[in-house]
Amino acid sequence: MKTSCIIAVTALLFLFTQCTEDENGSSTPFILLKTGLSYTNNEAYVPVGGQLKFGISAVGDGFEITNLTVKRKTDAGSVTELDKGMFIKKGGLDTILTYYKGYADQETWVFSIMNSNRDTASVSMIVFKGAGSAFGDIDFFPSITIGYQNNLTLPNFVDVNSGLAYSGSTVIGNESLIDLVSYYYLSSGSSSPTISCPSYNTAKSYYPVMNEWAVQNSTVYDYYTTDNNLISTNQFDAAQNDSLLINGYQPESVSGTCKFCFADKVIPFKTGQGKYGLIKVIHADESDTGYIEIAVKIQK
Amino acid sequence: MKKQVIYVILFSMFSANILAQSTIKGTLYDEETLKPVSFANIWIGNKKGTVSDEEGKFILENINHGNYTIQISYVGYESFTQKINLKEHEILELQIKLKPANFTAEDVVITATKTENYIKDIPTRINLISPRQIEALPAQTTDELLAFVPGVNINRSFGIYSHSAAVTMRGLNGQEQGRVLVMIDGISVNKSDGGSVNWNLLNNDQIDRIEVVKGPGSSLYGGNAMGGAINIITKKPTESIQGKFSVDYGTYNTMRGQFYLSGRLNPTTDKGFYWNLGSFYRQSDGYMTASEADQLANKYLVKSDLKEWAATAKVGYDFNENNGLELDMLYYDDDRATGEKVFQPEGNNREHDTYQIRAKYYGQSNKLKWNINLFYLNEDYKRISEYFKDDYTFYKVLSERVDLGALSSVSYDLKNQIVTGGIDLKQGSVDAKDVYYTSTDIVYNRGTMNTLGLFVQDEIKLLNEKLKIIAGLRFDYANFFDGGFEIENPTAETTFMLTYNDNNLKEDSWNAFSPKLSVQYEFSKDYRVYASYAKGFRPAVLDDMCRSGRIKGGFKVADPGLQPEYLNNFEIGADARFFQRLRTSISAFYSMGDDFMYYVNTGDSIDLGFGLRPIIKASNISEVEIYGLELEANYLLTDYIIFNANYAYSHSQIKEFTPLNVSDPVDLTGKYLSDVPSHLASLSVNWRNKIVNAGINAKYNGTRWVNDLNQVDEIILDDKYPSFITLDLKLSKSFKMIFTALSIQNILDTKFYDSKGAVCPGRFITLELGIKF
Repeated sequence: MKTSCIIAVTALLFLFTQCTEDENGSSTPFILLKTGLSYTNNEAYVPVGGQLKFGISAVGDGFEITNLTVKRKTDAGSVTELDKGMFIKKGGLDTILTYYKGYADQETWVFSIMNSNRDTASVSMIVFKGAGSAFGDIDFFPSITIGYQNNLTLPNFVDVNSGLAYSGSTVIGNESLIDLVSYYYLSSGSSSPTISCPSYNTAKSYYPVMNEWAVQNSTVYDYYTTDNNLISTNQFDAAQNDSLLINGYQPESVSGTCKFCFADKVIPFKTGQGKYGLIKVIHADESDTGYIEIAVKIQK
Repeated sequence: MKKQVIYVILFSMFSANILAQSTIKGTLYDEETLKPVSFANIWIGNKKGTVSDEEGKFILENINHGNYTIQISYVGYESFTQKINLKEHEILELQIKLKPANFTAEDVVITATKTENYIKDIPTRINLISPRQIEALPAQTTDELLAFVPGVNINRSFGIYSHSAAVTMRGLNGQEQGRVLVMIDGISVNKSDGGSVNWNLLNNDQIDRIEVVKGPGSSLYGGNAMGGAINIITKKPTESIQGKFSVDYGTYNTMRGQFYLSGRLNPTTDKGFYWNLGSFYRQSDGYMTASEADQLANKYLVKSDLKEWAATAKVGYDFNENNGLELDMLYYDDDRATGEKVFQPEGNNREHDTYQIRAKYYGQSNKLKWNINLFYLNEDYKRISEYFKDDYTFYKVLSERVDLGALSSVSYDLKNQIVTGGIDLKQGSVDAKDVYYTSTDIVYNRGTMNTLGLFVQDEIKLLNEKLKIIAGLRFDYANFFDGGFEIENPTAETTFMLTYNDNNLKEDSWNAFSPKLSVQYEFSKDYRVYASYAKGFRPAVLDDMCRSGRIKGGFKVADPGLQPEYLNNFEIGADARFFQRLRTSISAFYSMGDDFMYYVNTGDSIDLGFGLRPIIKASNISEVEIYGLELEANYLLTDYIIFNANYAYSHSQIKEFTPLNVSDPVDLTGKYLSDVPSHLASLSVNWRNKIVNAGINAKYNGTRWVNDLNQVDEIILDDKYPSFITLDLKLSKSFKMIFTALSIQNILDTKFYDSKGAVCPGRFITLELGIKF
């Protein structure tokens, strides 16, 4: 019996002294920018509003790549253009990102990845301001009417590139075109006409059919500009090219959903394909059987 | 010829052995009715046993002479043990009177006064869960053993899959374990970080009894003992070796194996070494806790499963009946999935690696008794959180919570009074970080609270012990220090918190006085009345003092200057016994709470990444009024059938609410406390018979307010949770050493939901098979 006591005490002391925290050795993830005619190259001169196209290739050195961050650094400061969580297990990351040249004479673009061991790697590129400007054309859809989740008569699914709205039956076969849906709910007790996108989880609770879609587009909305009314309806109406669409979008305050979309709100957005746009809310019901009417301006 | 000689020698030896053996005969009676007690279990040591016949008679033959402990147990009666010395060829005859156990006024408890007293002698409402009740209840976890105590509110939304549970009482918020003190063998297990208790870590086989003291107990125990104190008392070995091995299988492919072994070196004396070892392992496939709507919307939702195991050990040495040393250790580890899995192998889950080590020294010299406890409790909490919203988010919460200290008490027995005093020292600390893996952020928080408590108590007996008075006072001084809240490498996930980055949170201190005065008058042994006043307090938890972060409804800001909240409780009660078999009790209480902590808007807002949300702070801002009534009746229909019925009413309302910001539209004045059922009732029947022992328990849980604002909840779509009834059953049967038990919880398969719309496990069936020796 004494032996059993000793064994028990020893076993428990052993347990007490064990380390429980996850511990991994360090790793060396790697990231590079692709070069060539298809991409923006280091020290390139690009006019204001001109497209920047970055090809990124990265590996996690045995660990999953969990984050990709893109920062635009200028004399005025640093703006995080992208801070995206991910979980890429095998084969690494291979993607193309498009942005537009701002007004700064010189922009340093820094691309960083992190792996699941929290080890990081970065690469950077300098882009100079070229002569002139290169703001592009836009499409304008003055009225798109979208039904909320319990509206049985109006369509619910919108392709912002074409301005077309689809119903539950007509969307079949066109799922990959859909960038925007809308629903109404009480957010912490406050009435909220809301716009969202197919990849956003909460939106799927209102439109469960989107769970089955092979392509679920991720549109992100700049809620900070929206909440603080930083773009007026007059500015929206006056926009003739994509300058306001690009410069009005603040990438550090974006989400796949935008709440409190009441009439006269202007909402900057960026589609999953990288196109910038603006939404002006014309009318928003405050009932889940109602509808929202919007105008859209989007890069061609 | 040789064979015949050998046979003769062997026969002679055998006969001599038989002839040298002794016999114990006896008859068992009910102490009150003097009727024979049939079918009771009688054991000598750990090997030989029998059952009393219909006339209460038993016989144990062919026993070697020597020292033994005779043990008798039967449902409805207190366990009986007696040491005997059996001589050669002796036929020992015993006439044994068993005390009815369910009449708990006869039971001795220690929690209410830190001295041993009969329940009937203590002017406070006390409930005892006896060993027999523990055996008869179909409980999977320790908190479920308390479900049928009058007025006790159990909050365990997902049965065994709940990573946390709360046991509250006396109309206090059902989610806040910090307002009820929980102890194991007299040592607090409420963690300083959040006031919570891990109700999953104990195996019920190790529990001897549970004492529940209602109303504030801060005059003895200090913080947390605001609504009451629960003391879980573990078994102490009595035999050279005893044990139980069992396995069980149940709903959702739930499997458990467990054992409990204990022994004493010298079971026939009061001194010597003793020990016990226990362990259990449980795993279950679990079930979908999320609502059907959520399952449709989120393809990453999975079952909430569990794995957990624990090991305990205790060693002790008794110098004599009243002096001894004891050391106990516990290790517990669990892995409870919380129902969502995106990329991580285990999905979202929570782990609590718990290490506990305690030492006790107790003694007595003439009229002086003392008790010194040292304790160390370390919980390494780990939460993996992953979800897919705009993009993939994955982070871990790693928190080391440590509580350690020394508790001491001394009592001196004067002629008609016992004076008790003591000093308690406690340190609670938290060192935590949220480590993001899909961004670079790490958020640290830490803080430490030291508490010194001094208490004194006088138990006075007057008028030939008919009048009893207990007066007590405790002083607590606490100091918060080494607090910090820091953010490293912030991104959009945490940038909004930078304003609150402070590596050196302001130190703060507070003190609290907790008086108690209670009086009872005993008209006869069957009737008594009592009245009591007590003040209790709950200290602020470290989580509110040093951790800022998202919570439901906004962003919580740490406040190191938080002060305790207080409760003044007035109570009257009476007990009466009728016809020997019916015992009834009634208690009514009125409490006023001051400086109650609530999360309130500061008037500022913050961009959390999904739009502006209010900034919220825990603050001592409200006065609360609680009153209620508890009724209980126990009826012994026959010697084998016991009924228990109880009912509790409580009214818990905020009387005054002072917002931090005058423009705050939130006003909780007149609102009712959330998660408090106004009505609780239960009915239990325990039937012991030759075929199978049965325990049936029904419980009614009244409606509860969903939130502090008493508003319609967006998910529940109502301002109150609906009332519900559960019905539980346990059937058990022993065949000598082998036993089996069938437990069915929630027979009616009643579905009830939490504030997120997640559903309970419903009917839960478990079949257990094992051996006891």
